[in-house]
Amino acid sequence: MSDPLLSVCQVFAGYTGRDVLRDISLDVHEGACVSVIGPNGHGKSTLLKCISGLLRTGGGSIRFSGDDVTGLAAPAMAARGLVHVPQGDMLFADMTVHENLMMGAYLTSDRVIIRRRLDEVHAILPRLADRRQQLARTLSGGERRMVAIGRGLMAGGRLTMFDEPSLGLAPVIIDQIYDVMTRLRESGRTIVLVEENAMRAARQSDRMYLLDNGAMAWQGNGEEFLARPEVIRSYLGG
Amino acid sequence: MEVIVQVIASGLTLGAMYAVAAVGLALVYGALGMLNIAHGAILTFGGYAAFYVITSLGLPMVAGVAAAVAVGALLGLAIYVVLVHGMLSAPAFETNIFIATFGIGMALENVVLKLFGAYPAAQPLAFDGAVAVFDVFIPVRNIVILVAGVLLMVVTAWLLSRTQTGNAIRATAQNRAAAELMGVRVRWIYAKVLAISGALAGVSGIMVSSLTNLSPTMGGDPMLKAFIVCVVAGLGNVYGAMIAAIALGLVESTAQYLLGVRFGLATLLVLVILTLIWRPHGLFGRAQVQRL
Repeated sequence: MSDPLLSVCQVFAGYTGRDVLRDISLDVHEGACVSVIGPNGHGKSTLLKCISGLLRTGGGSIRFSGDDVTGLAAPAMAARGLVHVPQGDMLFADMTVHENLMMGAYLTSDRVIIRRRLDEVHAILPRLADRRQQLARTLSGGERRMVAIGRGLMAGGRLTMFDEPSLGLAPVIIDQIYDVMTRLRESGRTIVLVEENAMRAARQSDRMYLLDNGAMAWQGNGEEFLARPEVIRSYLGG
Repeated sequence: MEVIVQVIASGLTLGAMYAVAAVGLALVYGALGMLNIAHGAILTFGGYAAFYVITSLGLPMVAGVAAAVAVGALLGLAIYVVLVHGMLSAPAFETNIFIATFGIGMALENVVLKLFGAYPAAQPLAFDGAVAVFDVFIPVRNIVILVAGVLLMVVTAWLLSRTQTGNAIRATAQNRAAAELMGVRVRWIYAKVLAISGALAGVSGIMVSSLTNLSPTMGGDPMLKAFIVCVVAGLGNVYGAMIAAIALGLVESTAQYLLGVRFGLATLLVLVILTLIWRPHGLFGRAQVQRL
């Protein structure tokens, strides 16, 4: 098997001296969809922040595309093609939908490429084309999520991490968002997906990691997970 | 009729002057959450830079403007390098930087005092003559200030809304972490913002001193007015500051005519109090809702 695109090795991390992540290792191969599941507050978002450089790790190493990227800051990780669609969307609230999308392509200077990505994003998320000139703060929750996803896709990264893309949305919108996830996966993108809803993640993923209280509690592929209901019960309460 | 034209002309001049000073202040507050008290001192430096280049070196006026812009931008950059860069990641940045720039401002003011002395000097970069509008003679320098002010506002607005740097500045101001995830090197953006703000302050120094005089303490009054403008507009709101500056300039000149010159500042301060009672986040400011 080839070397993984992203390799997290024995990472520790936390906020002001308190460890949130302990000894976390995770591999993501090119073209795979890897999901990280686990209850709320057990370090899933912290793990993504460590990978994208928003948070410094307190030990361990991270390799991306063959290079040691441990300790690199977020802009440097973005420049290497690692995209993080953060929890809570973190849009630029006083910018239009279009300006938000264009910020996603901040590091790309080729207008032709930007144009092509924009067309792609509009094709996958047609609502964004209708809302082009609307300020991000005036959008509904589902539309905001779509802007956040679209903005991430505009970067054209080699690996895209989605932090709970279904969080806080109505079930019908969640279905739409997961349709988008399925399309992205089918188009061959490498994806890291953080989810609280394990069943939903299991249907999407090539490999799953269960994070419990800051440590890796279980890993395997989607079918293995679905075949072991006791894992779901003990960690996720059913 | 003559009186109205007079009041409006004087109000627009004041407004344009305040706008240039206030926009620089608003830009920095909006992007970094930093109230730059040294802004007034940078303005003073700009005025003196033009004075030095034109009077002492005998260079043309254009060189004077360029010198003011360059000195302002360099001082802004220096404040980033010396203060902001090191303090940014420390806790309570907003309070610490406020006090630090207060100190830097005092130091800069005293550098001017040491270099040029305490006596007021005339700003050589000023235009004489007057133009008659509806039988009222309006000094050419007022018109120049108004035109230059409007021009600078247009350039700033264009920079913020149409350029890649402007997008990055707005994005950083609205969500720093998200901007970093987009690949924006926010520290570099902060340095640029301080340089732009300093350049605006430099030009503003020429404007202010061409109406009054050059003196080491000349930055104090425009700094106070710019702060008032920013508070009324909503701290950090650049476009709001442009509008509020013109409006407050008109209010001040009207109050000066109706109530007497000494009531100009008092009227502005009453307006600030009323604004803060009626809209605590400023006319164009938005309440920050914290959801817990």
